[in-house]
Amino acid sequence: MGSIWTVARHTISESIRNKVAISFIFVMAIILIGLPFVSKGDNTVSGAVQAYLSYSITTVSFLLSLLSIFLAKSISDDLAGKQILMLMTKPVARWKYIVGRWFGIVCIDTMLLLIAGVLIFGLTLYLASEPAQDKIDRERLEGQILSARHASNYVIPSFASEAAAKYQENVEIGKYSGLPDHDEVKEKKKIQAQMRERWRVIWPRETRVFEFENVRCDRSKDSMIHLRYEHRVSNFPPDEIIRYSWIFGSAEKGTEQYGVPRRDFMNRIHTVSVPADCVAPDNTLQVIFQNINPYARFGEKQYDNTIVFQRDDSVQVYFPIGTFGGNFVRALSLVLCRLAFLAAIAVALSTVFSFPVACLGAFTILILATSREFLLDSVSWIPEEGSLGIVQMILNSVIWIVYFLIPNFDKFSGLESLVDGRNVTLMWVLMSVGNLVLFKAAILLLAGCLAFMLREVDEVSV
Amino acid sequence: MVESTLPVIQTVGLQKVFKDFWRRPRVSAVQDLNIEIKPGEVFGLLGPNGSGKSTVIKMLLGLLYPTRGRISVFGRPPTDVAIKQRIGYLPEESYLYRFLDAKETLDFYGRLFRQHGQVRRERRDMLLEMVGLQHESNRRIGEYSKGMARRIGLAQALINDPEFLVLDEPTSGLDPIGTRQIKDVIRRLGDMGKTILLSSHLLADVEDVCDRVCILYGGKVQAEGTVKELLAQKDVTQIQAERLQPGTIEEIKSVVERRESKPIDVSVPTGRLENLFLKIVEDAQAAKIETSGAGQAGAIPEFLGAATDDGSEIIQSLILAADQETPAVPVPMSAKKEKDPAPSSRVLDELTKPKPSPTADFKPKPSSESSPKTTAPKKVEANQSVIDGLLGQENSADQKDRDNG
Repeated sequence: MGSIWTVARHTISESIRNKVAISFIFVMAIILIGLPFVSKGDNTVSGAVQAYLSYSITTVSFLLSLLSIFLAKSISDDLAGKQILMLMTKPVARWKYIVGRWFGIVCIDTMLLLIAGVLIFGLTLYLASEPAQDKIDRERLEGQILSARHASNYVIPSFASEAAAKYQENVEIGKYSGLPDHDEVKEKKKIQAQMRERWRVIWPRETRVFEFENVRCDRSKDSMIHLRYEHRVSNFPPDEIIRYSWIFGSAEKGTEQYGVPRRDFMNRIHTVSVPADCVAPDNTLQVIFQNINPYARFGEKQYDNTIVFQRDDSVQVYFPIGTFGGNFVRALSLVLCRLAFLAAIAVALSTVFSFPVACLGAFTILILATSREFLLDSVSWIPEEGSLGIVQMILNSVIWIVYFLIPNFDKFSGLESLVDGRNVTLMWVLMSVGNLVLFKAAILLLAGCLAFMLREVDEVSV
Repeated sequence: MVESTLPVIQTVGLQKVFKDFWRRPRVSAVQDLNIEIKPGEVFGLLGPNGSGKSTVIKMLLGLLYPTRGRISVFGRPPTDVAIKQRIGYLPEESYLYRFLDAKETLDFYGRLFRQHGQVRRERRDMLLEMVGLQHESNRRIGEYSKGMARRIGLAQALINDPEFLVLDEPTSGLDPIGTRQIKDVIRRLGDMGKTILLSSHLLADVEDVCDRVCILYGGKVQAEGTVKELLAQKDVTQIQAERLQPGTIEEIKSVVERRESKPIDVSVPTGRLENLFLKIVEDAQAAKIETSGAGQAGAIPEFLGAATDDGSEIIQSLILAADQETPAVPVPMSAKKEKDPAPSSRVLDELTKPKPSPTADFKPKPSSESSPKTTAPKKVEANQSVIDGLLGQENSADQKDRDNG
């Protein structure tokens, strides 16, 4: 650890002396402090806070990504400037030098991220302290942005017994009489899946009961829970506004009940907030959806529109389980994991290539990681097997390595959750540390160390 | 004490071939090199530019890998990290970090040896004093002149009190004081029993300090042996004396002619420019003329096992030696009848032909200076060679660049 830390310390002081770190702090500070005053948003405080959080963290993580790649230049510099001759004749193992350089870069990233974090956090709170536009704006800001909420998905009934009954019925009516070798289990599964899909569709005047489990929140009247839903509509009315109501709570379990009539624009995400005392003591929440126009009795027309909640997360209940501060720290930790990974890539490349090549390589990987899904789509035209023989095999293995080694940065970004006030779980952070740092960065560093141990550190001059 | 019997360095059939991008062999830098350096020896690696000296040194340090052959350093392979604890290395140029100042530089290298705070700071300050940079220690290395950077390079090579010191052209870029001082340090370290490997193309440097030399040319060993062995001219006799009356000289001539019937050559040696230069600088330092360059060199730090004398004493002793040399007018009398030089010196001549540089610039140690004595003959053009040597130090860097380029 001694020599690793010495090299890391040297890397840090190098970045400070060469004014790299300072200039990055300067640029970051200008952007972070300038952003709140130039971004317009939708004139609500909540919108401004969301926009600021989103832009500032994106900017900072991009700048620091560049910095991480750029700082690995110190290894190429040592090789080009031959300072490496003085280093490698000291009792420092080569792998310790490489790991030390990487660790130094991670330390610089941590320091700068800390500075940026304090700035962003302070400015976010400053923006949030502006007078809100109205009550909804205030509630949205406090309940849905400056909070760490856990999302719970609904539980679809299993329909196992119904499927079995249906299968029996089919057998009785002789549906399978022409198919002697049909698989009973498969058929049942098929019927069950069909039933579950059908469950997501709510016909006009129909009612659906959504059950949520593990809603472990403070069940007082003062705390709020939020239902977030997204639907698809067919047969919509000409004004494209859909009318229906939600009923929270269960009379059976003796909770409070809240009816919420809604007029919502179709095909958008909506949020409904109700007091948390509708949650049952066993941490379950029952929400009933009624596809009936609640305003019909005031003379409005009942449109017969069908509503579909397509995905498992189309209806989610959110409840606060943590603070914005904690969520913020965890989101930045995810950023740091990505930076550590990038630094490892850049360091590994610098052990073999000179500065511009290593830098470009690392930058390419940054682009691949941020747009992995898109790029992998573009190579999927390559046929799976055989037609090109050995070339195909090589191509496929290259793609496989790329797929395996290059992480999908979207999966390791907590930004969307943070901006939405959703909890960035500790588990998520730990998974990222495990995947990006302990696994992928470690593999890259190992490769870098090996390459560095095998190479000669000086060129020959005769 | 098994260690002391083991050679510090041993190479067997060492070969280095440089390959190009397509792995085709291009240059054969070192061919079949077998050398052995014993503990406590000051070993000189000599050769013109591009003769493979640096390549050999870099292979010994594990910076380059041999194409064929075997190397052992303290009985271990050169890539072993543990042996680095016992080695000090000064590369052919001081590849230091420009953004660090002298103190931070030594601090950094000290840390790499895992030295603790107090020891590190003490050694750092002593070494800075030794190389005469204690007053410039807060300036960034980037602002240093080449010679000053070289001094820091030497200081960092000594920071771990190495048993084995590798100096690749230690005097390149140094002024005569620095050169003298480095030679002095090498000699003193050698006296303390340290093993030193010295490479140079400045022959005077090597001759002054080395016990044994190996002359490389074209990657091959051309000659190897102790300095005395290689330079002895057994068929020449030199007589040195304080200023003599013309009558006395005539008498000596006649005696020699009568007894041996050989002609003799009588001349008056001039003082060495090196000594003159040292004298001028000494006077300037005494007059406290300001300089932003290196100041007075200091004592060799105690941790290296040196006696405790302060810096001015070193200069004083150098000057004293110089003063004693200049006024004393020894009369070198060399017999004209020169036969073919010994094979070793022929190699020397051949090597030095393209760039006239000191061939036999032998300078007796200051202590054994005062009394006239008989030694192997000196060539009088040694004086010219010192000038060449001085100029050559500046030129050699340029020329090396050209050669490398």
